[in-house]
Amino acid sequence: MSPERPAPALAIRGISKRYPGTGRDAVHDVELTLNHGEVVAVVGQSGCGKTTLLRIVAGLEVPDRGRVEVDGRTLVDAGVWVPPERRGIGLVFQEFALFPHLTVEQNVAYGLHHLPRAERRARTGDMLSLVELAGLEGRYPHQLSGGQQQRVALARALAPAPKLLLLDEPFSNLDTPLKATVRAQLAGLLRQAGVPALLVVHDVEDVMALADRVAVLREGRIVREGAPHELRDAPGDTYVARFFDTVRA
Amino acid sequence: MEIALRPGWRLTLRTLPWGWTATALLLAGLLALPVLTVPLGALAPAGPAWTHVVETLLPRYFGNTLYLLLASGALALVIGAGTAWLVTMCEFPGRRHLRWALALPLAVPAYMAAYVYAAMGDVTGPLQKLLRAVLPGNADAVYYWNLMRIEVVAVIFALVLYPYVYLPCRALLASRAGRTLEAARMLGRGHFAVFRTIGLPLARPAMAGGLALVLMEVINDYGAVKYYGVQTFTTGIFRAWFTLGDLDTAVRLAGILMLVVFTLLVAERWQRGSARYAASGAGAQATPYPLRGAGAWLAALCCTLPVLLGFLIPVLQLIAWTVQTAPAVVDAAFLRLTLNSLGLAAAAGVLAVAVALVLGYACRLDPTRITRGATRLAVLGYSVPGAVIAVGMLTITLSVDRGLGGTTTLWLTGTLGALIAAYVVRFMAVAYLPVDAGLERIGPRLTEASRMLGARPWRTLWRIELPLLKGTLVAAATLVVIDVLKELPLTLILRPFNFDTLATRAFQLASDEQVAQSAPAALLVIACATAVVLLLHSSVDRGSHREP
Repeated sequence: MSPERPAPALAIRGISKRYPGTGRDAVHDVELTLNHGEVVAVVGQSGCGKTTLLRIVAGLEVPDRGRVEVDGRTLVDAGVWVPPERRGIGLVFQEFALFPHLTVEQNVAYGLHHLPRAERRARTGDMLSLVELAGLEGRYPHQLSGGQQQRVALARALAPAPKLLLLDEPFSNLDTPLKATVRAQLAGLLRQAGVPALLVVHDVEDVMALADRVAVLREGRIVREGAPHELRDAPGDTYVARFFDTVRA
Repeated sequence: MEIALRPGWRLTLRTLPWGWTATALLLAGLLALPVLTVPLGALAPAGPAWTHVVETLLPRYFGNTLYLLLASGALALVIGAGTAWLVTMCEFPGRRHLRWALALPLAVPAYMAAYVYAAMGDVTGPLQKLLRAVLPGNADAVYYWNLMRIEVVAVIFALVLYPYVYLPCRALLASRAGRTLEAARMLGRGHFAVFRTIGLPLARPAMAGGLALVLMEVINDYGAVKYYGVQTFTTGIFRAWFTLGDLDTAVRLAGILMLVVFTLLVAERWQRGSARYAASGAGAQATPYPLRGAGAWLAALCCTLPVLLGFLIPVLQLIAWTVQTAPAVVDAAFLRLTLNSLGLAAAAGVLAVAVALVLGYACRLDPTRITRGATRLAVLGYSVPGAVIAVGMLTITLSVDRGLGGTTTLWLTGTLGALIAAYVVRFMAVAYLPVDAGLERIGPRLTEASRMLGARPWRTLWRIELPLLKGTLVAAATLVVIDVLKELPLTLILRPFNFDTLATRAFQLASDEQVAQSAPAALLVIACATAVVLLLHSSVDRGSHREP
């Protein structure tokens, strides 16, 4: 390891979090690193702490212990706290969370308020053509299909040029026939944008299509980490095997 | 890598949205102050008139207040629950219109109904005129009946307050309990058996909640009991302050009254806790029983009478008097009264909604026991009678004025600012509940999405919540406006010298035996309130249909 090696895109160090009254850590001593341009999937049964981990990175939850760094900048540790609005991280919500009273264009431009008007327009236009929604600028979220809504959410999260993109169950609100198409689109878009991304999914097909690396979370701890095909071919234990089972079936 | 493990609370302290939490705590403290002053003040040494009040008046205050609570409460419960059952579960002529008309008495302040009825039964009133005209050979007869009795007051309270029971019961029977009631019918039980065994137990929490509101309104009233010469705790507070000039005694009486109110609230909570049935299979309304013949007409009559007595008759009488007196009464001074009333109400409405928004938003940003407890304190005023809040406010403003050294100048006491602040204390819950529900409906995701896109809380509130809540905020402010327009006891105590509103003017004219002259002001208040009751009702109706 050379000393000039750049800081990782995301470094999660020893993060623990317990919700009051639950009696056990929702995430426990989690270590995870994302390199630049890498897409990492966090998988595991529901309730294993995936979403909590994502929300801690986003700044929407406060960890009890540990540190989160993005690009070498500490966002949270025992002495530092950067609020979510100043983290420069994009988040695509499971339920998309598009602002219902704003048009597609206004939604995408929402995070660009610091830019001059002309630049804002240009950037919004770029983002909408990236997600192939040019022409729908004036529509409202309820006038869009589920797949279109998801692409607006993605364009909105990418517009402020975040250093890191988080995706929380990006496909769970889509119908099955739509999923395959959207998944392929999203994979292409993530590569194109080149933004490191951490995504939480529960479908093994999502992992195979999108992720460079996968981390398996069980009861708040990371139990396996590796390339998707490695884990599929050599799961090691039944918990991991059960997750990859559906692919063979 | 080694991470220094420090206690989690340091992290939490740093991550709090400090400005919001601090502002919310401060506002809640200010709102709770006039309420909490009263029990504290009641522990202070007694005022000079206290012994006199205890020996001669206290038993009467207790007896009359208790009588009114029991009689009005029981009657309102019977009318409210009975009509709710009839309009949801039975088919009879006029049912569709009676469904909404039964809510109308809510728009009539009890004191207005009270003096209208007193005047109607008077020697020169329409009732005696009618009797003289109808009964043969009685052209000069004078009926010396005494209508100015506590029993009449109790009935009038029940007639204008029963909608507090009717509305929640009807909502429950119409939306939630429909399938359950149909199931009971399918099991072969008769109409009355279903009402007794299923309808009543299911509606019990709704009835208890409505009853608590009725009783709080009864305790709050000053105008009606004063007009009928019934001495209650509220008239006692007025007497102690205005006649005896003894604020300490007023505070003690207010303290006892608060004790009564909180006993009621605890009882309501306890009864709800012991009987919270989750009406399963939420769904559409049950198919009503078709009533035929005499039964149908009886049901129609039972549902028409409350509307007639609680709304139509007083309002028609007020209209008749307005036609007589309006040319003389409606002048520049009347316009001034109207502007006074609307200005005060609008200021209180806007302020209350703004405070509610800050409180609600702070609870979302920092959802801890502290912020939630603070908002619970902030909405305390709604369950406290207006006269009690007025006395609390008076205690505070007088001691502040004394502290400022002004023996000749009163900086706060008797100012519009103090009056508006007291309205906000009294009606905070009216603004807070819809605003809180609105924020709950929007949910946390949009706020989080906005913050992830770099917007700080203020900007998020401005760009996301405010536009989405526009309708809710207007509705909440309107509710406060109507409550302020109707408010009497608090206004009477705290208003600036020589300052009148529609409500105080109507009350004064009525007290001076100029009931007909008071009609235009009363009618204006009732008209505004009616519009709001109808609007709300139509939105509640739509809401109940949307419920899955």
